[in-house]
Amino acid sequence: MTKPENKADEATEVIHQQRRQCLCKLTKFVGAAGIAAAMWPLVSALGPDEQTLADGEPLDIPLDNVAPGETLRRVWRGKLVFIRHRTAQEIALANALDGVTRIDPQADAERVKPGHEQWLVVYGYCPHAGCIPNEQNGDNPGWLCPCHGSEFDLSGRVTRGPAAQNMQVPDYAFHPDGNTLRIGVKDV
Amino acid sequence: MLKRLFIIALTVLSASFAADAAEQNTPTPERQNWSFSGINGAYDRDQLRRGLQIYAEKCRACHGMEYLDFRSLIRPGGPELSPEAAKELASGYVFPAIGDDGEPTERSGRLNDRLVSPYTNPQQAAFLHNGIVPVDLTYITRARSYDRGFPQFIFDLFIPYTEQGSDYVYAILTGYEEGDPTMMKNRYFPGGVTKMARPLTDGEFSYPTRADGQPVVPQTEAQYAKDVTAFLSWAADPDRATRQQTGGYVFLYLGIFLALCLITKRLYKRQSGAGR
Amino acid sequence: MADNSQLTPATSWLKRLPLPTSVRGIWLFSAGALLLLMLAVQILSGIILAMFYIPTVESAYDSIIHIMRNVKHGELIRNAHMIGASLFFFACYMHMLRGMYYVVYRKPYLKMWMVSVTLYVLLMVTAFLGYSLIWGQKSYWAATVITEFARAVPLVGDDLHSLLIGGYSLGTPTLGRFYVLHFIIPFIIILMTVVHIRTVRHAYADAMKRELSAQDKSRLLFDYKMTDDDAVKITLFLMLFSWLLFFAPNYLSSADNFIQADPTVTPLIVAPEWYFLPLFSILRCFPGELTGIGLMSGAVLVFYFLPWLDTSRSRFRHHSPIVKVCFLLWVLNALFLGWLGSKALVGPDLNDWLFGQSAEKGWIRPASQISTLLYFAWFLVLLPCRRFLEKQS
Repeated sequence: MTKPENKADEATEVIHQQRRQCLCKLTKFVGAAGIAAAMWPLVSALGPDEQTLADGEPLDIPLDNVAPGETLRRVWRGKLVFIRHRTAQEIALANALDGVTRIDPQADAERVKPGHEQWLVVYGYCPHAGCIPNEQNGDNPGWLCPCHGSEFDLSGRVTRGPAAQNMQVPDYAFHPDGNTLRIGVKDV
Repeated sequence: MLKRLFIIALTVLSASFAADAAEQNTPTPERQNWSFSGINGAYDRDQLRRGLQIYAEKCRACHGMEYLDFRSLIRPGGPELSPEAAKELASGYVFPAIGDDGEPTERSGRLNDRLVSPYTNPQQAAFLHNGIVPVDLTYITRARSYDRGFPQFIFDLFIPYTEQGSDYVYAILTGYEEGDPTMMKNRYFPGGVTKMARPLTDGEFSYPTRADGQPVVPQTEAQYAKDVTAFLSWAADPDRATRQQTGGYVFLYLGIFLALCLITKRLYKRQSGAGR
Repeated sequence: MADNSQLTPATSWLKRLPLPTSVRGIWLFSAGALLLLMLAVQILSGIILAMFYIPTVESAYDSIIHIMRNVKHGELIRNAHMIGASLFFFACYMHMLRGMYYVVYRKPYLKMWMVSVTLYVLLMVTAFLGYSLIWGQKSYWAATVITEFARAVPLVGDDLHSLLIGGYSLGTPTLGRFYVLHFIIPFIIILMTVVHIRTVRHAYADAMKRELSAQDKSRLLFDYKMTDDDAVKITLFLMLFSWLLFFAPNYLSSADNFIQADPTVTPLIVAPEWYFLPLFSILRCFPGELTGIGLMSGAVLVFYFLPWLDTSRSRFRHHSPIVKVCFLLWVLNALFLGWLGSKALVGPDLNDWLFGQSAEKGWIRPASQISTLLYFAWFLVLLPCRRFLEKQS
């Protein structure tokens, strides 16, 4: 290795040294960037695949054959959805209970679409621990969760604990003719 | 000395391989010009649509494409049908379903369904076709090939030539003997006789027309074969264009990285070498 | 080849180009780094694939098609795994050829050599198991042929065979155990690689008559700084890998494996992937099942005996040029043997072809037999006689 002979050579040597170090760092950085880019497809492969995405698209549900008082059970994106066709009495009862529910206050009108108050669409799970509530008719119509005894009214609002939230309402919208429900979109 | 021996050995070997190839009875398919071959190849959308038309009007009667779903006909890079056209195609298919009363029933196809075989099961297909099940066509251009011989198969890597299957399928579709009453003799099929009667004839399908009323491409058997083979090639390899584009970027990156490594190496060599 | 005295007029231009020394000729070195790279590629891509693969007869092939069509970048990952397997073998053979050419199996590298050959065997087992999982026509019939070997064992053959595959023929039980083994053995390979690198390090210290420092002993692997040589060669290797992956993904695989396995139909030519072709050629060209199996196993196991077959004790600079030429011919012969394995087996046995009437037309079988003899001749004839050709030290 040639030794620097005077100050000028020393200075050049220092510059060369810095150049080498800089280039070395640059090469390592570019290499690391390449490895990170190569890891990306492996990570993204873990996400939902095309089939799952396609199966999870908004679902159209025809409402023709659902009589008043009946509840339709459908599964969308792996989750159970209750679609209840409420009678006029049930709608009136739900509205009357607006001020009574204290645990998670919410007006019935906020939980249904204007013009389609007869259709109550909620996820079929108790917000407490995820059990599926059973339908109740009689004194306290609505739903009763068999796991820990939470009760829900005809609007899916919690009237008795231990649940602390109302039954969740998914995004949904009605087709213009009013006979088909699309779950998963905010409007058609 | 070593190199000389190597060259002699290679010449002797390739001569013997060439002789072997000539003994084959079945002719090898010719290499065709495909729009999607080569590094810069891309599928021709209109050709894919024509190919889909032929498949839907003719081949679909016996052959399914059970790994191809209707939704992929909409996606970019393929025939790019409109969602309505794809839904209409799908609704022509029938799928088993279970009604709310628990009884088996039927429903028409939706976008997420696949282009299944027209037969209920392979046994029915075999029964209706003298014991042979019409092969599923989704991957047919990847499931067929022909021997390229030495040393051609080495050059194929660099061209790159990956359309053996497409050339073979095209050869089969156009390789039927003229004037054969059985319509089954095919010079490219191993054994010379297929179980599929000649499927395409001139003028059988009506292609979209230009402004002057003529079809955009000639309505000949060869053109039909080209178009339907291109469609089948797309079905077997829909991501080809994206893959090759990504490949281009990867090579660019590797080239830059290689240059960096070489420069680093040279700089360090200058440091430890005699100095230039 | 590292020093300039061996440069001919044709290669003197290499001297003028400012290329790193290693690029000039010794491509075989750095194959170890390439093998590590391929191991990483296979394990990473394999783990993702394993999350989607379903080891049942009904779903195996469909799950792979699902990966290719639906999973994000699924086709890329699957092709990377398949091409990675091929290039893994390519690097492995380069590594082994380097070992044979530079005679790395003598003392004090004996232990390392044993570990190395075991790694090669484990690699072959893993590759075979993985290929069977695809459940294409080739996978099914190749696996059927190989597992049928168990039947050749006298007395207990049939029972052993059904124990091995979990049934009368390949099915879901077979896929299940192949899947588990294919997943586990690579981790054994990782352990053995660590052992391999450690033994190389110890043996090198012995050979250089230097003690390993306490710091070195405590490290699991080399104090591995990737040299610039390695970086250049790894990049070039990655270019080959990327070329195959993006522009010719099915170049190294067989079209038949895009057809789902069908026990009622055999493909026209049953042959394995290119890296098994020489062994396959040896297996099938001899009359008698046990002869074929025995010779094929012998062709792999003979590597274990290299340290004792090679009796020469010469330095590299005294290696005979005759031996070097014969080595090159041996390599070409092995390639030729592999190529023969991809052809249909026609032709009479060697003695009929040479001396008797050749009832059968064709030359593949006698050529395979000659080629096999040449393959073994390197190990059993040339290497033992090597010490008479070289100056012993």
